[in-house]
Amino acid sequence: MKNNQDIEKAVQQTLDSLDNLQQLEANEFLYAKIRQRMDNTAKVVPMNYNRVMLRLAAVLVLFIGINGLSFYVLKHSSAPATQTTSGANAFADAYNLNSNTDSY
Amino acid sequence: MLKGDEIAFKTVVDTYKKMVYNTVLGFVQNLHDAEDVTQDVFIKVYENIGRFKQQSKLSTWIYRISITQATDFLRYKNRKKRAGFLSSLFGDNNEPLNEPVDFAHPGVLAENKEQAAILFSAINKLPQNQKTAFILQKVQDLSQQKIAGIMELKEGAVESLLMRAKANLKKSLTTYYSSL
Repeated sequence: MKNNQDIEKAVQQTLDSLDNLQQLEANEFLYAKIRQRMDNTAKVVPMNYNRVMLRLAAVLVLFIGINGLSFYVLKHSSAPATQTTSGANAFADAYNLNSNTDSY
Repeated sequence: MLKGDEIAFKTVVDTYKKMVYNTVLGFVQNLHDAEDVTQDVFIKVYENIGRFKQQSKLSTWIYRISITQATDFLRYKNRKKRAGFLSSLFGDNNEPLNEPVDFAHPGVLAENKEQAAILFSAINKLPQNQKTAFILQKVQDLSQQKIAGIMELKEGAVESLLMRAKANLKKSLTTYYSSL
């Protein structure tokens, strides 16, 4: 199709090809299908991104909190251990168990 | 419907389903996809009815949702197509792409079927705004005033979009017929 007139005619016919387009009927069971999809979606409530992130953040805060608390408790519980040692020393002192003086 | 009334929702679906289906079909150019997207549109309508400000007509608001859903669907389909192309390049997936080359709209007169398929193909190459305006005018037979309301543009802007759409289509079709 090299003739300009033929090309122009074909172009115009193509542009007019959608004139008098018949509207199609939608599926008569469309409402039932929509309802079914909505019910299925309602049953399986997907966890949205924000909720997942919120839960992860809560777990992270809990993890850090537990670690911090453990650290704090361990750090402060070292005092009784020292006391125990000094208690042992006191016991040793009372019974002369750690004296360097030999009485042979 | 604002109160979640089922009967009202059914009435809306029954009233506007033909309008939505035909609009979406103009964009997605596939009967099966058009039905799926039509369902998506009404689910969106149901979920977002609270946001409908009643400043425009309900039909105008539903038209906007239909265009957005159809456009999003095409974007998603194109992304999938690109991903499919890439994976086929790397030999992961040898399945043929399920892509219709020519769309034969069942509502087109028998003698115009071939030309209409060529025209739909050319419409797909138009910029988004021109494509929307052209489909609303040609497929839905809407006035420029109504198109302006849907696209939230001035009537003059719609007129200009339609003129540019026709000029681009003419150019594209001339190239096509010259190459035959």
